[in-house]
Amino acid sequence: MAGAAEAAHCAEGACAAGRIIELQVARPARLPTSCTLPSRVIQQLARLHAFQRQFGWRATGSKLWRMARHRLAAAGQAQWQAAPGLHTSPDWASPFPAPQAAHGGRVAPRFFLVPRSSRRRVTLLCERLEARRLCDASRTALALAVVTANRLQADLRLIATQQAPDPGALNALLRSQGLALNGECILAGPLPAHTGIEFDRLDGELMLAASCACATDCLNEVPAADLVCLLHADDSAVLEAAQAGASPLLQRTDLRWVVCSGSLQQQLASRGFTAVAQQALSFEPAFPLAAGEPVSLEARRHLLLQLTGPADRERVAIALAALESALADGVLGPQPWDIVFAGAELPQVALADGRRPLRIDDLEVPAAWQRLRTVDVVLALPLPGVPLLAPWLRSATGAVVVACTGSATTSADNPAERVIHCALERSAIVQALRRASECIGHDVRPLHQQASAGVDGVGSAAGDWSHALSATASSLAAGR
Amino acid sequence: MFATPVPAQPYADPWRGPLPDRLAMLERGERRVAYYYEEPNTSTFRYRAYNMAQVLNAQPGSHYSASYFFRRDLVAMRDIADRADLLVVCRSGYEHRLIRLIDLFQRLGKPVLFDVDDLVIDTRHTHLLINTLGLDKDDPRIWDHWFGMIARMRATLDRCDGAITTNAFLAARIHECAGKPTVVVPNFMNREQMAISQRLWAAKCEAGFATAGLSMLGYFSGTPSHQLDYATAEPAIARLMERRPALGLTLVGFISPGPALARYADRIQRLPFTDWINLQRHVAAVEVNLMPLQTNVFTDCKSPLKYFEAAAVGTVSVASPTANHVACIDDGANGRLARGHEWEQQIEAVLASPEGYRAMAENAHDDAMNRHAWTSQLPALLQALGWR
Repeated sequence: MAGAAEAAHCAEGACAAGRIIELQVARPARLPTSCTLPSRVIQQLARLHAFQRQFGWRATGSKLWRMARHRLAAAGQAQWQAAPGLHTSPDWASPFPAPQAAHGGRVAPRFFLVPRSSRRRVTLLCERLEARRLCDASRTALALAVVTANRLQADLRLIATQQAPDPGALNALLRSQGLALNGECILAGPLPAHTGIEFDRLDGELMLAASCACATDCLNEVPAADLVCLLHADDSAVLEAAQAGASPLLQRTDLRWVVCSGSLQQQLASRGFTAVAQQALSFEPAFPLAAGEPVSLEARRHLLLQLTGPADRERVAIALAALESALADGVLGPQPWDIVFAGAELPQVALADGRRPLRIDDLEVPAAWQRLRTVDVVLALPLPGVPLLAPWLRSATGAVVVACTGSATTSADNPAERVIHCALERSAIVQALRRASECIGHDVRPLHQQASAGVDGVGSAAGDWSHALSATASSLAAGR
Repeated sequence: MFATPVPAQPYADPWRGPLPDRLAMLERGERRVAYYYEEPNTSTFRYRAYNMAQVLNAQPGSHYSASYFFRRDLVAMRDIADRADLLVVCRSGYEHRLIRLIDLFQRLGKPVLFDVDDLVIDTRHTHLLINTLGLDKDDPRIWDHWFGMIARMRATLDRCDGAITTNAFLAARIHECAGKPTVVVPNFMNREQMAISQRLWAAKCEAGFATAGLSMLGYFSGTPSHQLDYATAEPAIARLMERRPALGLTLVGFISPGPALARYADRIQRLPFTDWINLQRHVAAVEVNLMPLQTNVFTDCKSPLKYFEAAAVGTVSVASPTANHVACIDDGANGRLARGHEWEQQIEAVLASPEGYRAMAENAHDDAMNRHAWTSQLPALLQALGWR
């Protein structure tokens, strides 16, 4: 005990105004794990402990303090860092290696089981919460998690493994989506490599993975019965499975699946994923753009270039060339057009006429959603073989959708749907944009008003997540 | 921040009387209760033994008396057992001398109750507790210590006839795991704490809740184990300090600001651990008392003492919605509840309206005086002791 007090006293002398100046301690304090010390001593030891952790020391005895002096001399005045707590004597050295990053540089969350309590919880696992993208999987997963948590009268825990969830962005996203969480919201992340962060898991807690990668990360930690994986066309693993027809994860029969859109479920079923075909729940996504602030009526038109999947050079180049051609030739009509890019991988470019399209991903969340509400034409670049999100885009924005599905032009059977398919060829796209321009020219109402009126029969449900997810959330909540 | 015209008070632990004095204190009443705690401290011992004894001893007449004893006093356990009608063992782990004391009382037909203020009686929650406190899980001694401590608490509880605890949520957990009859005597402020709080409240009212200089947020911690709780609110603190150049932060105790606040070091006031009398002066000086907690069954068992101690000096609290915070804070009326994504807007809501601030502070103060002062605890205490 005298050693502890001595060490703390020396440490106190070394600390002035929160900065280390010099450390003159010959040997470390050796403490039993539980002991009663004056609070000042505990405080100083906590700082020593924090400093030790900051510099990653794993040494014992006088070696520690030789290293301390050496490091301090090298570092000059080092800022103290926060200590998670002082209940470890400073000479402890772990025999275990630090946790390693999972495949792809991701760190898989670790869980431990705790007894079920009066508090219920739904956990959403994602890599990052992407608030701006129109068709982002994490946005859809958030909506599903919120609606399900509300249905269960549960709290929501959001674990974003790669980027700290921004409370402000989350608030904005919830508002823009017309979502309100009834319970507590617990935010966690990111999970840096080489840390031992663990999360408690209630017995039977619903764990919703926003992507196949998140589900894979959790499979060693969470019973399959508690894990629900969202399958979304925005998820590259899903796209790959839909195209190649091979995915060890999607072939599992012990997982629960929720598929964003019946057409994606059909696509996956056609590729032989029988569990997804037979057992998955599916829902149609909502685009509650009307939940934002009123749109000012403008004379300008807005075209959204929307990319699904990776931005392969050829696909983007063809689309950009077609767009430049359409603008140069006045194919889109006499009004001035603003061009907006949506897709994290779309490059920053200057078009032939010198304009630089606005990137939705660069905007603050409210501005991004405000911008999406004003879209008149969507030029969609889906991956071949992947279901098109056009009906929902159309429904949400009131826009006419030009979908480069790779097939021959198939003008919509039902003109009210106003989805124009075309091949991924410059001339075909230009032609389709011309038709889109003609299409919107026939309707004098602002297009977002047409959408909110449900002109295409996709209907008002398209703007309401609670409605869109009602049946799915009920199924997930059943028995919990 | 608010001016605190009350000067710093000289402080000495008021419970440091010698054993003969404490035995004599026990003998004054017709009904006598002995409180046992391993070592006196300013946290559990103060709230669960010292404050309780103060309430009983302050009653007029000689109906009740109470005193408190520690491990070192067990050399006189026979004297304690002879003089007391009832033993309350406060949050103490199983050890041979304590069990002999319990046996002694029970052989004399005198009831023994176990008083606990945290969920530390069920080893099924140990992992959660260690995780919540942010302890070093790679150190096997951590596991030995906490599993051992909790198992010892539970062993003591199992030897007692019933339990007393601080709130209904924790009472339900105790009954659930131990099957013991459990009653609630909440934590409250004692006479000394009330006295300085009243002076600070009066000064604040007299000044019309006038502030000067920076608006201050305050986080007050008595142990280094709340770093993760504090971290719940820190992103919001950083955003607020970025937006509000006249906003500062007071950190009292063992909490260190994280990297997100490094840019605002000149607006951060760090004060050392402070005794519980003078702590009220620091609490009174800030505009917002921050009470972030990770939400789980362990923190749901925590009592809302930070709320009422701030309320007593006219400081508004913003708190995580744990079970007991929700039970005592009416959002927008006597404080604010902030869910994980709402800290920024809820703190902003407090700071943005001076009129609303005063109304909330007055409501909270009334609540603290009516429900959380030592003067209003006798009925619950007598009921818990089986004396009513």
